[in-house]
Amino acid sequence: MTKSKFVKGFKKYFSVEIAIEYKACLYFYAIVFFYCVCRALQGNFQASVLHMCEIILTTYLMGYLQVYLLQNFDEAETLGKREVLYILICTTIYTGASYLFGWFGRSLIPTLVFFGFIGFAYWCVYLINKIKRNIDTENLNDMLDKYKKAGNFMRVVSDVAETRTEKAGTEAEKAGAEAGTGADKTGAEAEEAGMEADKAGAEAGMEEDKVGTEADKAGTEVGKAGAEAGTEANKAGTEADKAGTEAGKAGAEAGTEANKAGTEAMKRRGEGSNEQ
Amino acid sequence: MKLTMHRIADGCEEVIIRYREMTPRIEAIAAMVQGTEQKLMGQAEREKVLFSPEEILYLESVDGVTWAYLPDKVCRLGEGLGELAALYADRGFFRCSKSMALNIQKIERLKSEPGCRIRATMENGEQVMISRKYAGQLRQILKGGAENDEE
Repeated sequence: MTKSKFVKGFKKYFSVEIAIEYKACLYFYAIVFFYCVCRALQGNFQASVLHMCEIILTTYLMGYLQVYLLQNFDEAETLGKREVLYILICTTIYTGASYLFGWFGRSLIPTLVFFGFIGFAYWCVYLINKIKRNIDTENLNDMLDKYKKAGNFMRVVSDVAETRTEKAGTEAEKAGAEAGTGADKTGAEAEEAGMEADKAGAEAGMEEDKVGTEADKAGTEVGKAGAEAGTEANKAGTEADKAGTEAGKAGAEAGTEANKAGTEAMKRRGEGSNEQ
Repeated sequence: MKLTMHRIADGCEEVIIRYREMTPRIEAIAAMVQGTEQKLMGQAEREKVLFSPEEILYLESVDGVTWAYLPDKVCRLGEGLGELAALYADRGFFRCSKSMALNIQKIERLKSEPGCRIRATMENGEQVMISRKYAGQLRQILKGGAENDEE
């Protein structure tokens, strides 16, 4: 058995137990009232605790009997033959218990009156339950009407809200369209001005192009001249390099010769000193 | 009622209802316009029937087949009872037993029965007994509606 099934089963059992408890309390109260009145009428102002225990135990057992075996007859919709029979059965059991346990001193008259009292109590409980259900029915139908009205009202409200939203949307659309038209106008004017500016720009550009072309030409010529001058300078440089290299070579050769001469002179000087 | 129709070349098609007071007729028109996407298709004998959920009195599941009870006919539906009851819960559909879901809007009257049960009489005179388990839920739903109304 799963936990939820257990909880469900327990809830069901518990709700039935509460119904039995309710019945037990109700009938216990009625019987105790009769018991006290009876005792008082007999000149005895004391109640037996044992009797109280017996009464509550009996009412509990009768509660189980009524709910599980006698179809909860005191809550029936109508008081038919079957319900009357069940009332008689239960009344007899209560009366028998009162006689058996000696709640009223096993006197015949109080016991007979008790029989009538219990029967009347059952009838009263049946009536009370019926009135209670009638009030509940009234409340239920009242709530149903309100629910239906609320449902319709909500539908109307949503319709109104939608209509309002649509209206606002249409107005916004209108305003947007107007603003758009204005913007379009301004845009067209701006476009015109732009076109004129473009024209002027184009003309200015053409003039600039012309001047630029001439400047380009002049620049090209200057460049050409520069390039030629550069080439000449390069040429001259290359020749100067060549001359420099040759001069370097001649210098190096002259140096080598000078070194050779120096070495020979040194040799000669060394030989002279040796001779001395 | 005056009827004005404009043919438009492009843009979204729309129906604008201008009313002074909400009447059942206007409600029906609005429901028809709004309910075009919320129709249910059912099989009634040899014909296929298209109807809105609001027309249903109650739904019943018999041997795994869901039946929709309309005021004048009974239609077999392809959808499951639980699915439909959940889908249309906000439209007043209420699961009153394992095999049945009622349209609260179509309940004519309620009666408190012994054992905390409720007997619902539908608009077609059909009587449905709501057990104690589901009666509590119905009371909660109705209470919610009543509270909304009071607000």
